[in-house]
Amino acid sequence: MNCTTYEFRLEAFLDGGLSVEEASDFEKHLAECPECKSEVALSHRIRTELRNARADCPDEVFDAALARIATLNRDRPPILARKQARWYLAATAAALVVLAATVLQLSTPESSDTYTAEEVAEARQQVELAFGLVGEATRDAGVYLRKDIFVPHVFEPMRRGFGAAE
Amino acid sequence: MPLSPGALAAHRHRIYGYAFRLLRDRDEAADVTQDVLVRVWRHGDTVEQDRRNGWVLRVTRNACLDAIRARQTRDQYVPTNLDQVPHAQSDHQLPDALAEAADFRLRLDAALDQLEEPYRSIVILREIEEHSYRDIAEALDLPLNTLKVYLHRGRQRLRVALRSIVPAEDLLS
Repeated sequence: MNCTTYEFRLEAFLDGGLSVEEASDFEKHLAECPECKSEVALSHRIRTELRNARADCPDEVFDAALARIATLNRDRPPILARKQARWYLAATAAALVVLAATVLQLSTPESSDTYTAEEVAEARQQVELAFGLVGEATRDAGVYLRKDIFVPHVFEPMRRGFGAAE
Repeated sequence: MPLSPGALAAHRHRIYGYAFRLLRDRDEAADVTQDVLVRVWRHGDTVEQDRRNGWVLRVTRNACLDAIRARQTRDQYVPTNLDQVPHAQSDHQLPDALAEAADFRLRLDAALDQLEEPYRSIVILREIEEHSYRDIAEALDLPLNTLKVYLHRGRQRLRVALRSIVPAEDLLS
């Protein structure tokens, strides 16, 4: 085995990635080869110098980031406002249902002589659309309640509580 | 849900350390760190926990590259030339060993600055910040084997740059 072979092993040696036999073989070579030995010594010195020069994040930089985050957080719509928006959507859909139901009421046999078949069909379509909207709004509200209310404010605190108890 | 301050604190040093080494400017590194922390706060929860470190490093690298581009547009960027790096003054009051150590650090910084990407990032993330190969590969979007080859080349270039200033006998003593 020549120095070129050992040059490739140097990386694994530095990372502690050689097997016990390989490391022992490498160390034997180092004892006999001043060139490879100085290469390893230089690598160790470079690594030591680089690690000594590591820069930690100053507290004021992190505090400034947290202050920016606090401002952004304050400017977000509050949970209640977002919740209200969902309920407005649901209320609008409900109002549509009432409207459609009224139209449907007008299409009962007693009053059918005053409405054409096309008008009745259109009213039925509106009712179906309104039911669809209510279904969608209800599903959204359910997802919202689960994700934004129950999970962070109920389930997670309970899970942490159980974790602490264990 | 955005990440908590505690979860952000766990990333602060890896963001700043990498940014400072890439940018070599404390003010710019501070700006990038703040921007990246805000991004991590906003979007960190959308990344799987075991891939988050790599993702944070990737966001940091992109922010640094943007800052470098902005700097190059702002003022002509002159890359460090190793031949122009002054040797540390061997002041009479400074023992030779200290002068040699200061010289070594200066030349090492210059050699690291001269490495092109992605070699420089790989050496910084592995040798200085001690990140796992997996996180670095994730950050730089490189296959693991390619990453190891690049790290080998990066280390080799640093050794070549510094070998001339450290006599072999000094290393063996």
